[in-house]
Amino acid sequence: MKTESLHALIIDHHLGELSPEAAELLEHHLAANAQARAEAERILQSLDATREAVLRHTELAQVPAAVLHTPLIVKKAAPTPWMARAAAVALLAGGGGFFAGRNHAPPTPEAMVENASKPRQQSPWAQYRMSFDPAGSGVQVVRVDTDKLQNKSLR
Amino acid sequence: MDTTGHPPLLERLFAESAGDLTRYFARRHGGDEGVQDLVQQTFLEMARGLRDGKNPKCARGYLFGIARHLSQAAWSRGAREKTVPFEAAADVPAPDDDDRVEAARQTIAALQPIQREILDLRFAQGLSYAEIAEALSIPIGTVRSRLHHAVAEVRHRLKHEIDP
Repeated sequence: MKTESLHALIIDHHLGELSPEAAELLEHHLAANAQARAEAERILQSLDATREAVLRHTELAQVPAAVLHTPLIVKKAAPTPWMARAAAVALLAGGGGFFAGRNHAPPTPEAMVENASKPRQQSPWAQYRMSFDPAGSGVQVVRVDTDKLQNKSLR
Repeated sequence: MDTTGHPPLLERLFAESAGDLTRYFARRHGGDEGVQDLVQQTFLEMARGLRDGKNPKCARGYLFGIARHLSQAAWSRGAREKTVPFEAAADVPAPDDDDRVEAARQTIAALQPIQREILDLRFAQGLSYAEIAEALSIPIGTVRSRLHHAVAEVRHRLKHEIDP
């Protein structure tokens, strides 16, 4: 039996907190093991010294008031106020955007067809396309210059 | 005290525990008049709790839980009013004549307050592990392990300083 287990069992047994079955097993163990008996004697002496100290020195019982408000299990800290404010601002912005989008009238089917058929002209953005490289190096990304119809490889 | 509906339990508790509660408050606060007020208040709170439907698993532990809250409230009031409740405690406790007890006293003084409360409730008030768990609102396994740890600390101190 480990020392820690023996220590716990002897204290519980002495304080009447051990089940009868466990107490019987412990007594058998102590009866058969002199070393455990000697250790049990020392543990009981420590227990007696502890009890005497508690009974004689009442100042040990005077516990500061803060203890009552100190939980054994520390809960996770609440979010800081700035995080709460940032979350509120984000929610407001998201909600505002949602309602603004709802109030905007959707385009009619005719307008959608008309816009889709128009080619994009004089776009400020460059356009690219993917093409297969016949030299065997894989796929090329090719810039398409819509004004001058010149291709520039960006491989 | 309104004990309607629970007079047998309260009467039994009063008969069994009024003396223990007096000792509990006296150890923490030292005085006489204030202590009796706290004992009465404890039973009043117990009666209110039972009237409001509280059904504690362990009545004596629940009673000491109330007593603990009232004691802490008295300490808090004393701290706010810059007075020590009831009697001034000695700043520097007198050392014990017995080397073993003195070593144990110093070890216990260095423990966490919750451990000292467990030791006080066990050795001075005679509460069981289950009653201490109820009084302190902590699991019974925590009571057991904290008490074992406290005795192990004393054992360690005695082994290295008194009985090498």
